Amino acid sequence: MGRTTERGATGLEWSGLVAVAALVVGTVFVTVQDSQVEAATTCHIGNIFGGEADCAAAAAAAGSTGSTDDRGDTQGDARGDRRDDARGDRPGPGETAPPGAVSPGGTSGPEPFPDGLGPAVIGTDAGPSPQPPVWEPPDAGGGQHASEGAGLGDRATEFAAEAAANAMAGAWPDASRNLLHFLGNSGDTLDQDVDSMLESSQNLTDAVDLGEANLAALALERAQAAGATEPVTFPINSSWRGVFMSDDDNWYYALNGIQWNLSGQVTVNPPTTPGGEWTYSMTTAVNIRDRYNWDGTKSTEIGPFTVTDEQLAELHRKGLAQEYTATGTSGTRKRNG
Amino acid sequence: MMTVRRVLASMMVLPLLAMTGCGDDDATPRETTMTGASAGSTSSSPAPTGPLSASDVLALGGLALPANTSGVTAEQVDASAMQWLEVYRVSFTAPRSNALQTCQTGGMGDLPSTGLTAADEELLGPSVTHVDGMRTCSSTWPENSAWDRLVVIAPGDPATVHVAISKMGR
Repeated sequence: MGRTTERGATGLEWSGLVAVAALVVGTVFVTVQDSQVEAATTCHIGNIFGGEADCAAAAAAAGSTGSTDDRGDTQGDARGDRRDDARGDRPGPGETAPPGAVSPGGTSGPEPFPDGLGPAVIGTDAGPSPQPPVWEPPDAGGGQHASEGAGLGDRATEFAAEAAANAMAGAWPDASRNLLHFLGNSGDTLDQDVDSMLESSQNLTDAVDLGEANLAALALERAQAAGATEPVTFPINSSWRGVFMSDDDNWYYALNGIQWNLSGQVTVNPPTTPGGEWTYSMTTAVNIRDRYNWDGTKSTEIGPFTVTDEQLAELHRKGLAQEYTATGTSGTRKRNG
Repeated sequence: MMTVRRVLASMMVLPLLAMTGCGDDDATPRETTMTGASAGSTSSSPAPTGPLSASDVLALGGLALPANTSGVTAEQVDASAMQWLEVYRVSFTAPRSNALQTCQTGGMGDLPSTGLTAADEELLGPSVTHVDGMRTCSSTWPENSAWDRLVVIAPGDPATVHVAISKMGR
């Protein structure tokens, strides 16, 4: 996509970022005298900060192991096979997948209800809110973690990426936090602030609002069709759906494409007087999932910096950073009609 | 503090730019570009090549064409200006009971549609607008979560069905 936006960072912040990066570069060049390593380091730093240098020759000269597309494809194919295997163990609606039935990076949970609403119960309480549905990562990521050797050039890339992440902390705190967690190399799941997403991204808010409205309409339709004469409550657990938070810089750089669902319940109240109106009361939470990874096909320019997926995917493959799963649940949302 | 940072920056920017071969120290906003390719897809249903078949496109999202359809069209949308890596559209007309089965073929149930988001409209194309009585279903395909499905079924019998199948990118 092409995207031109006004950035939140000030010139001073960019200056600070460049200063930190320059310090990193200076440190690397003071401590490393080998000309081959120097060439590789210059190349990687240059690429992160907007250059177009081809690092292959420099990396080869420095003895760094270059990544190949073939490797990524192989990893993707292998992962796809695992996913296919896992699908045979999928639970039924409301059932939770057994341990090991979810692909690496995925999260377990029950199957969603096909149209989002579960079976009605008489009264105003459908019991505990369903857990978010089982979730499988939508893409293969950058390859196998720590499957390649890291060189000093890669470490320079890591340091520069960390400097960039720290520098953007003020303007884009979640983008910074998520990149730093990737560079932290733990691979641990990282919780996300879904309420902040809902406040910041109209794309997400619109999708969620419409999802709730459609579910409310379905609940009313179903209760009326059943001729309900007293309140009935439907549990809610909708299927995952994709949305892009490209309308907010912080979340665009933090995650951008995520998958979300609604869990909770909706109570339908029949009219209290003949000819009166049917009403509903809905309580939901928005759950999100995403795999924080870099698949080597995209690049992102952040102000004066160009960060390529390939550069960051290499850090993962070389064991200097690690992909992880991003999860989150919003606070309780209430809706009446 | 601001002065210190500026001095530090001015001392370090020039050597950095010299080393990286960059002559542009412009800190003004720049275009953000994300480009995507479909290489390395983990789809168990490869993206169609050659003339598009509606059945092949629907299969990308785990859907199937119901019986007795007419006016079937399928197209791949230029997604270069979208966040999605790939977008396909299918439309057809079918007896209403058959049209409603479109959602069921993908393991979904149909709901009343109360509107369309701007993102939905982008996926479905300019010829599709929300009307009262429309029904819908949408979800990521559980068998391959890279693909999203969005189905809208116009009111009436026979009913016109519009489907968008889109591949998730970052």
